[in-house]
Amino acid sequence: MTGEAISSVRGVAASPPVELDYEVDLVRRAKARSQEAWTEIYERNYAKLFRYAQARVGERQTAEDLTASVFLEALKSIDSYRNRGKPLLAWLYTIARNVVNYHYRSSFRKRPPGRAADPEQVAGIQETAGGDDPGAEIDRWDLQDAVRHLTDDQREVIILHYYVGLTTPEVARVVGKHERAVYSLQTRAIQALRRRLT
Amino acid sequence: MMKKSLEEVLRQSLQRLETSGGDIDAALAEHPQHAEELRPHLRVWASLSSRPKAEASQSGFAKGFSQLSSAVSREQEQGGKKLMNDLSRSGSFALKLLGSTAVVAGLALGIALFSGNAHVQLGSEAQAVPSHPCLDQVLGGLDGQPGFTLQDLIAFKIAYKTQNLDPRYDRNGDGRVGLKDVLIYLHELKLCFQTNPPPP
Repeated sequence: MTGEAISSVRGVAASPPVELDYEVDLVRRAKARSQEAWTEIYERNYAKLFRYAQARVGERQTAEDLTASVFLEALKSIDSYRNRGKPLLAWLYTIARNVVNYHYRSSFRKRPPGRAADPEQVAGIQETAGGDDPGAEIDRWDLQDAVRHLTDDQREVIILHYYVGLTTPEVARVVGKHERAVYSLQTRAIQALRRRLT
Repeated sequence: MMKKSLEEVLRQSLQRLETSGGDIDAALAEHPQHAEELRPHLRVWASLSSRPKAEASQSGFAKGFSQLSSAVSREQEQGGKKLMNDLSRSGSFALKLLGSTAVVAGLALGIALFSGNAHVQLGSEAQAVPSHPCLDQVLGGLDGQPGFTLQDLIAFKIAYKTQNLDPRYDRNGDGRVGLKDVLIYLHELKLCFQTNPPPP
């Protein structure tokens, strides 16, 4: 059964077959511990995974360390990878999410008494203001704090779309949902942000 | 009802802005009846969309790449060693099994060919082992006893398996008992049978 067929059965967005075929070969070479394959996987996905980590933890240095950890974890786990019609990025994203969550749990355990209970409140999503600001009012919005209060699903979709830069169809493939469901999550997230920021 | 309607309108606006481009004013113009409610939401969208994307440092990228490359190399090395160990373990066992059998089979086949007896059998049927002065001369001393019997082949097989470097087995003196020694025996048998052919 092709990846597209599997995805159709599950009712989630499917990756283009050609891309999936290419990734099947890439993974096969990665399983054989090909340096070239791992170089390609790294170069194709590093920026996206870094942006995700950066959005979650805020600090560049920590984000870079966590991103490096994602690839090392991927190398350890590649033998158990099974193609299920999703792009390789979806698998790497799952690892990234786990790595970041583990980082938070570790930070939480290590935090000295009296510090904030929620590690994400300390690191959190940092606003990197700049560029063409739509208005003075929006400039004052505490987006970092607002995004932190979204539900997990809403936050992941917002991060993948607006912080990582994936298109909505790409987000749908990565999180394994319909495009329409992703748009709905974005919609509700923006409504929640709007409520929080006014 | 109104809230649900706004959600649907906002969803349509987000989809349009992403797929067709345009700005807030264009999106609002499509839903004039919801423009007032829609505007602050689309400003949130604009704020999110206009965020500059975080970029990793070159040093961070290079450091991560170096760590990954080293890890891949380590796994290649470990994988290679494991493969060699597996091959060595299973391979040497297989070679010992096949090799010793092949050596004896080679000797037996050579004996059969040169003595004209194509029915050489190994086992308890000692009476089937051919007899010929050449066999006694070339192979007869392998088991330390004069005369060629099945025990000579078994002695060579054991010498092969244990790598007994006694000159009786390591005929070419290369430090191992192997196929080359068998070929020497067969060559000597051939020469002997040429001068002393077996009966037709």
